[in-house]
Amino acid sequence: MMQRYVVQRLILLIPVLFVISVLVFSLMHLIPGDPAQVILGFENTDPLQLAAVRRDLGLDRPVYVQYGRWLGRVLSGNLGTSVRTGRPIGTLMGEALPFTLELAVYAIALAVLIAIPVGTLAGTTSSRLADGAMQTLTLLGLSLPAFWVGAMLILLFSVHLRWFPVLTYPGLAEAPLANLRGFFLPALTLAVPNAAAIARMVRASLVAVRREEYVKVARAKGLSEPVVVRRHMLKNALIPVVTLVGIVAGYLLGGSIVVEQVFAIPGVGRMGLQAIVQRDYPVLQAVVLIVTALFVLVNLLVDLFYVFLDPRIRYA
Amino acid sequence: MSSSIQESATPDRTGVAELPSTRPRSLVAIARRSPKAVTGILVLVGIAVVAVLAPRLAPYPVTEMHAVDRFASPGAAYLLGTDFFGRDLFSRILFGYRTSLLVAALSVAFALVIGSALGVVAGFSGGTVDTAVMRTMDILFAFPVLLLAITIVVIFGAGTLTTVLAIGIVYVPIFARIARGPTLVVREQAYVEAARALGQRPLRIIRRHVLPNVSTPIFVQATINLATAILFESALSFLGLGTQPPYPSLGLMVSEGRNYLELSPWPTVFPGLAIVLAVLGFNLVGDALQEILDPRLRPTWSSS
Repeated sequence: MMQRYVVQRLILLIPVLFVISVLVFSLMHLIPGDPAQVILGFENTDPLQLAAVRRDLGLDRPVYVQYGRWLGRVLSGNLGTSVRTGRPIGTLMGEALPFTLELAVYAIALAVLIAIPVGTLAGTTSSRLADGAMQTLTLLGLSLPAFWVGAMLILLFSVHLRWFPVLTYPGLAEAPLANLRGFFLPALTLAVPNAAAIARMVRASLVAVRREEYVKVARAKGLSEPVVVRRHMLKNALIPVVTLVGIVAGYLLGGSIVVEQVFAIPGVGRMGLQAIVQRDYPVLQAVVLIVTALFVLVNLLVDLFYVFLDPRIRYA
Repeated sequence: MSSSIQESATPDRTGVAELPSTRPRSLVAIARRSPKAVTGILVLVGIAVVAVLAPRLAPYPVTEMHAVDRFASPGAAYLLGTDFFGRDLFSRILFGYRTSLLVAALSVAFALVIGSALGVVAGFSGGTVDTAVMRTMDILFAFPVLLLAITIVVIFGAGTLTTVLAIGIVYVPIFARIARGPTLVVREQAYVEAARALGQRPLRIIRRHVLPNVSTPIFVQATINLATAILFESALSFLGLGTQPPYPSLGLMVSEGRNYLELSPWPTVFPGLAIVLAVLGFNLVGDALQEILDPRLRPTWSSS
């Protein structure tokens, strides 16, 4: 049953990825301006040279032929070349992606570390004041623009207190501690609104579980309150939270665009923005394709994990 | 008795006793029931008023530069200080609110109208139409929101109107999903079947029976999306893909200010606080509405 569900989901993935690839390919053609003109530079208006570049790019062929060739290249791992630097986009992506992935993983870890204690406290406390304060605080967390939080953290911790270095990101393998230190503020920035969202989910989930029979039974057995919360309430309450963490993981890939810009991290988001400014559309195309594909895959993994966690779910 | 939330049962025109109303009857009653809602509404009304009256309230023209007063601190001459060009921050924030509220309102209205229409039609028609519409929505959902919005901006060129369109399109699937659910339920009700049997046209059935049932969840979602739309607009402007200079936009102000954090924090601090205040206002109202309408206190969550 489980296997069939996994296979089904994987098969469903194919049309989704196909449509995404068509949309991303169309992006190139929807953007105003002639790619050949961009490559030649706007001063050069020699029609012969333009035609030559178009022929090189295959732009003189029918659109479906262009799509087929492009998809064939992408599937064989060739993302094309940057029209600005002339470097292969696969290499650029290989340099940028680790920054973005580390940022996302770090942010998720921080968000969960903040959210679970806060949400548990709010969901299990009998004090309305504590619960209310926590609710207001998390609502505030949801209302913060990431770019502003980032700027404020830089202002406080890097400019005034000088606790964290600004804009230095040594490799994780060479200098793990310096790396984690350098990435701390960006990851925290990205974590804050997501921590708020997860904390609210944990709280709501605990409030719902609180009335369950098995919790009453656990208490009636004379188990201590921490044991009831940890073993009986949290364990069940965290199941829906996993979905949210997954959705958050997907959003982090997009949200990191802003944070990478604030903290000057040379990740995929910054690569995409730079590509927009420089009209380096093959790079932009690759960024949209890779990030969206990752987003879809992360969501799929979360769905599968969710079913694995809670066998009560009917996989229809 | 008049101030009590629950009115006593009174017979209505048909002579059937009305259920005890749970609708709060006075502002005081609402305030007691949901201080969150009142705080949020007060904040939003305040912001709306200053945004509308910005041309009258702003002490200086938004683009007027005062070369001698660059990076002035908050004080008597400039309430919240000035920026790199010596422009009055308070005046710029007032006008920034106009942009924020306008973009948020228009984009959510766009998504609400298009999304709800798609959702209702999909749910009501069923079959191929339903599948086609909802699969399209799924594909839109498959893109990370900010990336999708940025892509739309790149295609149409940056500007305030494009921002509206970008945010609007991103939000369409949310409203479609929310509208479709209740439509599916209502469609199966006996009174809809009766209306059909009486030969009522689908449009009339949708207007009389379906829309009243989908309007509440849509309204709540709209409030929450107004909050995220403001964040969204400010993020796009921050990235240079939204409102273009020299027009004031809160996100753009933060973006310009952060280059001079060490010289003066105010051009970064105040516009950011202004964004937080507006977003918090909508979030407070949205959260309160959800609590009132859904006793299980479903968590609110949406992200930009």
